[in-house]
Amino acid sequence: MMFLTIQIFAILLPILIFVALFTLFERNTMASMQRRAGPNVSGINGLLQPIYDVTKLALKEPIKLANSDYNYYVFSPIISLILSQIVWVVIPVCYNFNITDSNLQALFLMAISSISIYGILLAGWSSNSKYAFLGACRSVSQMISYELPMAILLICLFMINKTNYGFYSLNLIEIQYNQTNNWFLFCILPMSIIWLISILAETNRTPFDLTEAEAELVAGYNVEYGSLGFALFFVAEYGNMLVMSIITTIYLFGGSNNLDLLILSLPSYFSIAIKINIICFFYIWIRATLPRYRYDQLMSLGWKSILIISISWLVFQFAIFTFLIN
Amino acid sequence: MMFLNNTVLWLNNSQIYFSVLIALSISFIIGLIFQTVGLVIAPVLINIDKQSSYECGFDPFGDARNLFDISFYKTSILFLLFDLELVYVTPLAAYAINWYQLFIFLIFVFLLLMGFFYEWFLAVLEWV
Repeated sequence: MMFLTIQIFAILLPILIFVALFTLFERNTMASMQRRAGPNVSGINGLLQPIYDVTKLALKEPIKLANSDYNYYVFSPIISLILSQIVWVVIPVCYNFNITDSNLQALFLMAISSISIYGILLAGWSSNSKYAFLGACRSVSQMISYELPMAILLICLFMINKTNYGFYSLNLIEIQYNQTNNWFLFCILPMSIIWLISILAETNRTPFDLTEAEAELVAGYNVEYGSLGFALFFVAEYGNMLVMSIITTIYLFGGSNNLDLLILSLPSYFSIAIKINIICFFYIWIRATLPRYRYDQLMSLGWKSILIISISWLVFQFAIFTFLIN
Repeated sequence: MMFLNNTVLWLNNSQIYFSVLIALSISFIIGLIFQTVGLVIAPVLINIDKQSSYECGFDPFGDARNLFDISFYKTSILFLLFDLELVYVTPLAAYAINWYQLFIFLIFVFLLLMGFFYEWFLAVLEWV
């Protein structure tokens, strides 16, 4: 019990630090891509900038909205935070550091990422502002639309992930073990590309950040939140991005298998850290490169092409496997 | 192979539930701390204009509990159907696949896609 609590603390606290440093990483990378100087004043080369930001947010006045449902208004950021944090108990961060070991791990991840729309929906509904409500509607609609291709990729993984015991499983450790020779990225390449698009939409990032479209909606579902309530949403969003990065790494990029470069072989923790950082950089790179979609374009991309391609691939893979096995 | 030593054959889900409970309490406490620290250390100046909900520069009118676009609702219903479909397909993939399962799966997907294309034809997916 005590050991388990310490283990969970040892995972959850670094995530808060990650979120702080990730904002700095994002701002500096985008500054470099746009040929300007990023935050470079506070601390050593701007290293203390996130801490100053949090302090400034904490010193802002929390507002009690007159016509909001105050309880939901207060608790929806907490719900968002909880749902972005509890997925970490099933993720094997490294070979020697996995809190749980179950065959339902990937299914649990899918379930929690489905529930995580509720924090957003409650925030948008309870703050009783038109912009917040529209932002929440858009965000939820987009997240549930792009969840279907992700679930289909999960089924594709389920079909190819056979354990030593002879049954198929969704155990993340087994998924990593089966990728020692060959990443699943190449086994299901079309679905992998679709997954990389879907994680952008699932975490509401550019080019799919229609919830925060500044021109139409001011800031999306969190427009009424100031001070540390906003900070909670921020931590939840960036925590979700980290979760998506590590899930992508484990599903497609070989997870914490040793990364054999030309002459040197990286140990498991370095390997998974480098892969996660590359996918986080991918998020920022996309943000600095691509313009924003329009909402109807986003939905027609999701329903009319990505979903159809995913189902076709599922049928194709099912048929190929039947031919191969029998 | 070293990590296969502690792999249980079938599920040990009580482990997951217990860990989730601990993680949930930890993050709930973090959230509560975040929400209360602001109340304690930040200045509070009561002002009626601050407490009204946000509009672009003028007094708020009406309520946000209003009509909204039916397309959001239709998207949710479509999502429910497709999610149910995926729940049905998942156990099919769990065991060694044979021709009978492939046959069942193809009929299932055919019916589903027929319904989907019918909805497409009825312009359920159009947003403009």
